[in-house]
Amino acid sequence: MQHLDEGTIHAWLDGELPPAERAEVEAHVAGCAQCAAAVAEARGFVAASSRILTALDSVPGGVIPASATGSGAARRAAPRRFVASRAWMAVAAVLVLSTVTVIATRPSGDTAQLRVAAAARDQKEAPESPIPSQEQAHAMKKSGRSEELDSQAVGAVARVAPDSPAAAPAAASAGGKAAAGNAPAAMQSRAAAPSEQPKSVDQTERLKSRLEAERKTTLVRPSDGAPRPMADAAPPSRNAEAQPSANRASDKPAAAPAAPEIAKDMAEKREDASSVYDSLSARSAAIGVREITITGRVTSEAGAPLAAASVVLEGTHIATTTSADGSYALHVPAARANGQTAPLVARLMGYKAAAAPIALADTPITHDFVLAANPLSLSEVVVTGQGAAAAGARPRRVTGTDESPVMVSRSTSMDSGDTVVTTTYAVRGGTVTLIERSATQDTLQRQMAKAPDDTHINSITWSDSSGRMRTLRGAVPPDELERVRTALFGATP
Amino acid sequence: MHDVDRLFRSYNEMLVRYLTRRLGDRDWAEEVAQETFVRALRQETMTNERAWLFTVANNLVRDEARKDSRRRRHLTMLYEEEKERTVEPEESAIERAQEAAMARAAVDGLVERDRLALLMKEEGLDYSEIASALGMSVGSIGTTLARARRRLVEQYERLQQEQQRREGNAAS
Repeated sequence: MQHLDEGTIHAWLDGELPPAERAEVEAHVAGCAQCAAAVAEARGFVAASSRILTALDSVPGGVIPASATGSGAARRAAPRRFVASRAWMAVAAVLVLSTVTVIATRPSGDTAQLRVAAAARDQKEAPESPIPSQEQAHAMKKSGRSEELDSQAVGAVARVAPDSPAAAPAAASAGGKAAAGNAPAAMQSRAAAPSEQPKSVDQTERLKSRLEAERKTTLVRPSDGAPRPMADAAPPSRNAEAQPSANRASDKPAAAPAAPEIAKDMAEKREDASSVYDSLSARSAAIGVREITITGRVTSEAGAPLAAASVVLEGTHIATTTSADGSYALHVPAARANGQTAPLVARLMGYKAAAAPIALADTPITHDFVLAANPLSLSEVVVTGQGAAAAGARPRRVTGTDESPVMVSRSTSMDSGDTVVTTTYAVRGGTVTLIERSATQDTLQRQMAKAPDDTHINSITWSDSSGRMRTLRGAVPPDELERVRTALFGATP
Repeated sequence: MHDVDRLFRSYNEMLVRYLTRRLGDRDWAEEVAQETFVRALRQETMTNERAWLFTVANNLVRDEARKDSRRRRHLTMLYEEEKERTVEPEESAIERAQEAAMARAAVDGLVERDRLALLMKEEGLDYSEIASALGMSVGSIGTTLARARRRLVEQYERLQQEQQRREGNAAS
């Protein structure tokens, strides 16, 4: 037998060879050092590639925001094509593919029954349809009281699957109360059609016209003995009647003078339906769909702007730092703003942190912070370094007073052959930048000779025993710079 | 019609993981997986469920990628925005993210067929299932996987070395 090819080795390792061939390979490997080495290498590749593929599972946290609503948040934030949420997949599937007939009997024992038939007629279109159950659902009125149709349809759909993401928007739109503006809000309520707003409006229209058609049929059909209060009313008024809502309910008795009991019952139904709408639209309004911007300034009690203060929306990863004039702007993506109230906290070393509850409902939100000086507070600060994998860059725990500079950022660049590490520290009253240059003697001297280029920014430059040149600069008083230097590097010679 | 409950329970996790690894986007992966199951409902017969599901998922991804590149770009943009707004992840997260990014780059560097074969193998599909999902002969799967694994590991190691070089520079 000639030497094994790589494919055979892998097939063997994967247990994919038929018994006879397997025996051959085993025998060959036992007696062939070259192939044994190839097998060892292949084993390595199998294990390593498996490990690499596992690393793919660590999807960066920033990509899929983890929140109370789970990945649904990301789903809402982005245009989506397929819509049924995973959890509802089975529900949707049932609605798509089977014909579901639901008889919703009123608790009052009223004869009016509503039959909601979700027919899977357009199965071939189903994948293109964001909410197949909604699109295909059509309500059929059994009794002769056509004017009840809409309100019942809504109530019944809502009852059929009160929490179904497909049914909820259907219920909202069937009554026409969820206008285009509300549609995205309805999506937010765990509805499954986030980006398909125009389509869902379209479906509403379709559903409505279908209801209209059913109503007309009903009108010409002799009733089953029950009075038909609306039969003699002018057809054009039906359109208005088709919009059940709380105020419409009051029109009802007038519309059915001959059958007060039925009218009462219908009014109840309408109230039922409109309470569904109300709760939906209240929810929608509370949820909001826009990105929320929070802006403001952070100042000291003396009114001085505080730069580099951190402003964090607690419970989220949304944070920023104030700029030189103390101002900040936070953007809360629509997906993260569910109308909840979250504490917004401003912090700066040497000051007491201030928190304010922010209701993430309206935008823009303005909130200014005034931080009280707190020179006595002793706190521990964990400084986390970037450049994670480098040895010695493990998170350092710095214990100290508020006087300790806190690293804000660090970056490395190359400049005429020198490696330049730029680190920004938040210190009292602002930020300072430390520029460390692994300089040749030449550069060092040249740089030393250079005067600070900005008169508003103080700087100190020195070189340490390792020949590294350091410049510390910032819009803070010189003695503060000196203090920071001492804090960072100890007493200088 | 198939017992979708059973199909879903048996294969959803596997399919989502496979698609997430392939697409680098869990949401997208879940959507494709769902759509795959919806199609499974409509499928009269399946000789091999697992192979069928992976085949359909592959096709959906291909169609989707074709139609949706514009949306994807938009999505990427949103992600970038979102990332900018998030605070720096802690160190271990950075390491993990770096590893994931390198793994992603290495996987993306494979030719499509090799990548799919490898990812499906990783989900436990056997050679005949992979062959039927990719429309290849069973006999060629061993070679395909051998090549895919070697390349993946080599590319990953190359990226790792580059990364170490960069870090070395940064540290000095």
